[in-house]
Amino acid sequence: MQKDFHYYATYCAAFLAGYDHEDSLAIAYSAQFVDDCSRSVLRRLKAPLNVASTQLNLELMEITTDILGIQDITRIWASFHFLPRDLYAQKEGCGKLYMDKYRLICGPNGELVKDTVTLAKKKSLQSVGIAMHVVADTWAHRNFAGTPSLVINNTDAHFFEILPDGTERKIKFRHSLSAPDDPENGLYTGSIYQSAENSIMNLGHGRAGHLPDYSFCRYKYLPAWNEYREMYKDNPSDYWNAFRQLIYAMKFLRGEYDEFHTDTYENKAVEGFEDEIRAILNKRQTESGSCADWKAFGEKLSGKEIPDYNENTYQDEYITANKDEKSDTFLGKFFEGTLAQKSMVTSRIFESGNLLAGYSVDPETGKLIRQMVKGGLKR
Amino acid sequence: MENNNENDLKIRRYKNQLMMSGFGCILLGGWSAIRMILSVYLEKDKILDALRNAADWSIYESVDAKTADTVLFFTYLGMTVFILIISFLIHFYVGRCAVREGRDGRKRNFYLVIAGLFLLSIVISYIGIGDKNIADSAEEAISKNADVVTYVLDASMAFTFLDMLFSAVLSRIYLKKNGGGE
Repeated sequence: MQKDFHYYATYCAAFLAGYDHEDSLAIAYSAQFVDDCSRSVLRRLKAPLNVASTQLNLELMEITTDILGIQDITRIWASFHFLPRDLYAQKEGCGKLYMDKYRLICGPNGELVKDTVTLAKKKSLQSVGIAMHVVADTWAHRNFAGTPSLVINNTDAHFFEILPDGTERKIKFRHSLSAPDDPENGLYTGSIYQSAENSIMNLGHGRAGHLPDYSFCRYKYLPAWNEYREMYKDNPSDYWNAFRQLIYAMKFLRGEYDEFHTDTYENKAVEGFEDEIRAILNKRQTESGSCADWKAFGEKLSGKEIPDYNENTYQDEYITANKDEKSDTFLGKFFEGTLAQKSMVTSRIFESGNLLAGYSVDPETGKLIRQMVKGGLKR
Repeated sequence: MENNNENDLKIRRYKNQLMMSGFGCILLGGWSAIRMILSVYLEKDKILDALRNAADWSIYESVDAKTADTVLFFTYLGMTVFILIISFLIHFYVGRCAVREGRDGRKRNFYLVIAGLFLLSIVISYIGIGDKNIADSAEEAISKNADVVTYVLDASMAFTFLDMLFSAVLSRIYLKKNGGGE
């Protein structure tokens, strides 16, 4: 997902969940900042580099795709953008190398979604925002994995958009980063085919370009892992579910519900707004248009102005704070949230016997998880 | 929305295989060209000896031996380059048709005939191996190693063409069963 959903739509969901304007802004900013908190930004802030929640294209180009590089990439992308749906999924006739990657395929309503939301309970608004980003991305980025893998993330020429009138139009991807996507003519940018299994081009949904991030898009394609079976992706429906799930999750985090259940969506809070929201989701437009629509909707809900997202909003506060005060700044709390989320997801992946995210440190004790030594690896 | 009956899956699988064998054919065509160039470069002396034996001796009466050798060699080189280009173009044509059929469904039959002929020629060349004598000198042993590499690659080529033929035929059969579409 992009700024339209992570910032503006998350603001709307937070407000509908009962947060006030200021808190909703804090949650929305945090949700969007997950996409901007790269090592380059952290270096500028002189913040710890291990709290990074994303990697820029330039950073990815510098990483080697040996096992350490792959673990570094997987730790970030699987923790924040491609939360695995089922770490114990089974598939017949596959070796461990393949299964480790297969089990990282992202999808909504997995156990890790519950863990992610629960982790943010009684924590800062920044942690709430991080959780909302992760949960939202499980809908948009489903069926792709947050690890570079040709055999999981590759797509081919069999890629069709389902237009609003029901007809199918073949999508041809071009590979020019500077050329904007043109939904009207079915021209989209995707990453280049690379036959190397661990190439960066095969990370996440790169091969499908930005299609998973467009709320209006319905398409069908052949995921590499699905053995020539077509997969139909209905983004308007998924985004609608994501929006309602965010409201439900934030109501849980505010204390309105005792427990968080997966596959549960808030319907009461969106009563009266469904048509308006679905109209925004279905409108064929790129990010800038969608941002404007969500912003207008959010301002209508709260009656207050939503400032445009600015990545640098809280950076001065962090830079000028004293060393022992940094944790109390907005970004300091955000960094604690990302560290907790990354530790939790990496731990779960490690406990499942999968080393693609590397070894894990217990976020509570700081000790290396010794599950392997105890011989209790689950399969 | 999803078309996932058994025929659809088979059609996609065989079309994908057809595409892969098409790419393989183009690559192996490139290898054939490289092999020809290398053999000319590495076996220059042998070639010159063979040409001298086969040449019309009158050429050695009209010009000096070195000039005659050069003329013979470049004539041979020219013919080799010509055959090399033709060979690569044929491989490229066959591979491209296979890729097009696999990706876009554009059917042609002539390339399958050529693929079949290629396959047949490789099989016939393999039948000839049984007649070769065991090497009893170091030079022959080295030559034998080079032959082994050639046989292995020829086997890959044979497999590629076989795969291409099977995939093309089977994808067409399943397409017909499916009423012409996926």
